[in-house]
Amino acid sequence: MSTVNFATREITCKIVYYGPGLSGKTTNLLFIHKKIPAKHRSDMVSLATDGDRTLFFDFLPLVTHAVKGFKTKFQLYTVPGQVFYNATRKLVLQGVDGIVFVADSAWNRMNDNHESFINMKENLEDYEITLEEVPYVLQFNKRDLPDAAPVDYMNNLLNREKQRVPTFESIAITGKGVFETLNAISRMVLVKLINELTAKKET
Amino acid sequence: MPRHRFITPEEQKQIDAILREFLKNSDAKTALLLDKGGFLMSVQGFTEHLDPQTIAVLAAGSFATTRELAKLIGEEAFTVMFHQGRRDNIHISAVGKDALMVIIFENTTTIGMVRLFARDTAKKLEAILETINQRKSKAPMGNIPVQK
Repeated sequence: MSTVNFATREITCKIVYYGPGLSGKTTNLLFIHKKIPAKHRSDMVSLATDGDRTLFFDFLPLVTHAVKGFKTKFQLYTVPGQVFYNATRKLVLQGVDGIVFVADSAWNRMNDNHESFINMKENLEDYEITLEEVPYVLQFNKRDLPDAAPVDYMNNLLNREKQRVPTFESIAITGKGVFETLNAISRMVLVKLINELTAKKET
Repeated sequence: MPRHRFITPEEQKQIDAILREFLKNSDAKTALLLDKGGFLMSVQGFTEHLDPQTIAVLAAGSFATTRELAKLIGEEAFTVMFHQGRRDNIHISAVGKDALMVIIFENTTTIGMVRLFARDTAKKLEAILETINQRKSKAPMGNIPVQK
């Protein structure tokens, strides 16, 4: 649920990075945090275990001026990927405006990718949101792996909803594809918001 | 379907004023109003060396955790959370169904005072939030121009 505050002239949108454990969600955020000048972002909050596994979520707020006259704030979150953290994963999805699904390109992670995608759909359903309503993109991460699955195969596995969505190949650890993904999802979220705000009839 | 929330300058003024009045009455240091997703709607009082947005996100996160804890012991939800520090304390309480109030206070006041006034304040805030949440998707103050 995006918030438009006419007093402070701010728009705030929430983007969640979803995907199986160790697929690179936190790595995406860390790269964004590293590359964006401090005046456009705040500190990143990371609730992780000692083993670098996200325990609750990562949180990174960004500020842009994408909409004239309004400060546009994107709040980026990641979810814990591990299967048994579903309660937290669901909590983080609350009020989501856009999703980046980060899939692991390793052959042996295809099942995990698929399961996580199904899990995302189920968790969204609990908030009465369908994938047709919420903008999302797919990011095929770790393309540098020697055993990376072909993009066509991953597309076939994960991009099979009614509406095909943009996909991005990435190597999050080096930053390749990270900003392309973020730009695409933020644009999709804003376009949807603007369309809904300027719609002639109330929905 | 996810909705959008619009806050008008008038509503923002009212919310800010209610929180300021609370601070005056309770003698607490800082008061924040946020939704359960961690979105910050107002911060009043002492904010130097504080990062209100991060406090909001973490408070919303811990509050959500307590809701799951509540379920595990057969309660629907807890409505108040309290963390005691050596000098500063944090009191988090539900405001209606969708919002939370985070109050930071020193030992110069008491938890009893904070709770007493927090309850009244929550009722006042709830009424405004109700209006905000019921507003439909059309922007109340004209369209928002997109920058190319």
